[in-house]
Amino acid sequence: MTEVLSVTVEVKNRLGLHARAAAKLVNVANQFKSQIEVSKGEQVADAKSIMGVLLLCGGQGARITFRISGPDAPSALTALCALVADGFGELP
Amino acid sequence: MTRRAQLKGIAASIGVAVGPARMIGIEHGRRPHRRIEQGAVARELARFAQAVSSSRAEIEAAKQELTQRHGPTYAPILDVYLLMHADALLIDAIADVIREERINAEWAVSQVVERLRRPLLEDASPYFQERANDIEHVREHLLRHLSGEQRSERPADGPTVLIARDLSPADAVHMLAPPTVGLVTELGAESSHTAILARTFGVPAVVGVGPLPIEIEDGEPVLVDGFSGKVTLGAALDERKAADGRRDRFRAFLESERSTEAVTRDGVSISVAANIELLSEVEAALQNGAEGIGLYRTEFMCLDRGEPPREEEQLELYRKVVSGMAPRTVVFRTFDWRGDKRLRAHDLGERQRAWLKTQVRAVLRASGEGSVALMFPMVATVAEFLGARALVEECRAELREQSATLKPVAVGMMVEVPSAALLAERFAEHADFFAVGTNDLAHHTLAFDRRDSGSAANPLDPAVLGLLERTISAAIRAGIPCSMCGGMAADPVALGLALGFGYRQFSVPASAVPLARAVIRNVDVEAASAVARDALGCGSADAVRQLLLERLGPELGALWKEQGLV
Repeated sequence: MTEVLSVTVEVKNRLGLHARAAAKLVNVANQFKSQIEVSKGEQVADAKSIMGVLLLCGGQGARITFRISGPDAPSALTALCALVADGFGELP
Repeated sequence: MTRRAQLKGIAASIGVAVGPARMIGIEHGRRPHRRIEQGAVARELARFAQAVSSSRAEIEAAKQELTQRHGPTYAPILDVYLLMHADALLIDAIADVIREERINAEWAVSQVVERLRRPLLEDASPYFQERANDIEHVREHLLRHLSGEQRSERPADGPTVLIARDLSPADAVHMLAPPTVGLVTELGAESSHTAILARTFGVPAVVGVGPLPIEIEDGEPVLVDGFSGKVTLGAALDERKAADGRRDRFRAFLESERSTEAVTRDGVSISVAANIELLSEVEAALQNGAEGIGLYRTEFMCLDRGEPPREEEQLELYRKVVSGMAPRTVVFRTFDWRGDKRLRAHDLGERQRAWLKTQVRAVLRASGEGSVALMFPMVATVAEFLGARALVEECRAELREQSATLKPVAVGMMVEVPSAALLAERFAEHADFFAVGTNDLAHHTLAFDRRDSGSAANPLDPAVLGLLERTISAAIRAGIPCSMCGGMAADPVALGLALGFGYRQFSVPASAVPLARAVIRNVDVEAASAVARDALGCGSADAVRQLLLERLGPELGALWKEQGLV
């Protein structure tokens, strides 16, 4: 059975997963071979799909969860967490 | 058959344009919807794949163009569009519909887009409305490419007037260039990105005309009057000829006004600066002889991200603007999120305060490159302004500790809230300068709602004039500069009145600088003061306008007539 890495993080920038942040997230996710799921509450989306991530739309302080499985899961996890912790490159 | 219709919208970018219509994304039920044979499915899928790839290539090109022209700040706007072109929920879903329902690609695109947009539109939040627009823009890109129409094939044999519901940022960047000579959009406002880009690229534009009343075909003649906001569809030959003449004369006029002086008939020197939103407008400002940047609106860099970029990114941009204009002064207005009152200088949350500090620090650091001033929008109480000043001092102290070299930076405020005008005397004790925003001042004085679209508060209303008079008088008594940077300054009829009240500094869109100077040269300040006194006694904005037409007409009438204003 494939191991699934899972982590929950808080989206810190004010508008949460607004369009530009969503684009960054999807671009980062697409650098990896692993399957990456992102979820918020009940909603689940493919982190490699801009439409999916946009519809997920986390407001400020929203907690999102990544579930990652695949050959490069650990590095994908690191990269995604870094992006979110960094406020998608938009915290002052 | 001659079909003719006149529309009235918002004059978003001055100038006159005449040319054959080119419709972008406006369909009148002519989008071909048809079922296809099983045997044709593969061909339809290939046609769709081809459209996706050429549409994507076009947006890539627009992204590069945007980066080249405006630096890396704005280009990521287009990443969302690019990603949508590779998205399973959109692209794969469309292919599935073509395959399973055996319908043509245009129909499938519309079906899937509608399915994705519907839940977004039901949600009232601006975020979802914006995303619905994004998807709509991608639909228009795809449909255009399916129709085989590509920008590389755009007619090069003559000028065209673009008619669109709205332009996506990608389209605006790409299409507001020759052979496009004019722009008409059904949606949009004076400050929408389409209007901003039209002004930047000097394309005469009327936005927000509402749904077109008649069906028009590509190639039908259209007349765009970016002075009065009038659009004529199916313009007759004599109208077109007259407009051609006006356009040529306006061009010659701009050319001849490039290096004129702004001195009134009775020898009073006036300063005319430019309002800008983008770095690329610095060139137009200089070309038109602007004496500085009287209002640098910085919100554009937050477009689609709702948050300011980091300090270093802002600094890089600000340095270019300031050094480009040096030794002339650039007046920065701090971020002004319309409707987002939390970003006013007062009552700031911790996060907003951090954003404001980031911007103020970047502005202070950019001061080394030339001459810089800083002002705060929407100030309503003296305490707010003192808070804003304290924030600037805090930033200055921090930067000094980091031994940054800082030049003195004047700290002023916008006078655009009635309370600020009423207490102008008190504010003048604390502000280094005033800049009057006539649109917002009129708006708040006359209790308009921002969502009142289609109509705007008239700054010529006597109540507003009283506040304008009060503000300039207080500034003169206190000996601080006071400029006018709203729509009134760019109005060739109202500008004379502002001179009469005592305003000597103006800031108008870069493309309107030469016209403002021409008006100024035809005004006698002493006579204008008498007109201004009488205007304060008028009972309505219409009466004021009538008064101006009568009393300033003898000197300015010819100029007004030429611009189609009277």
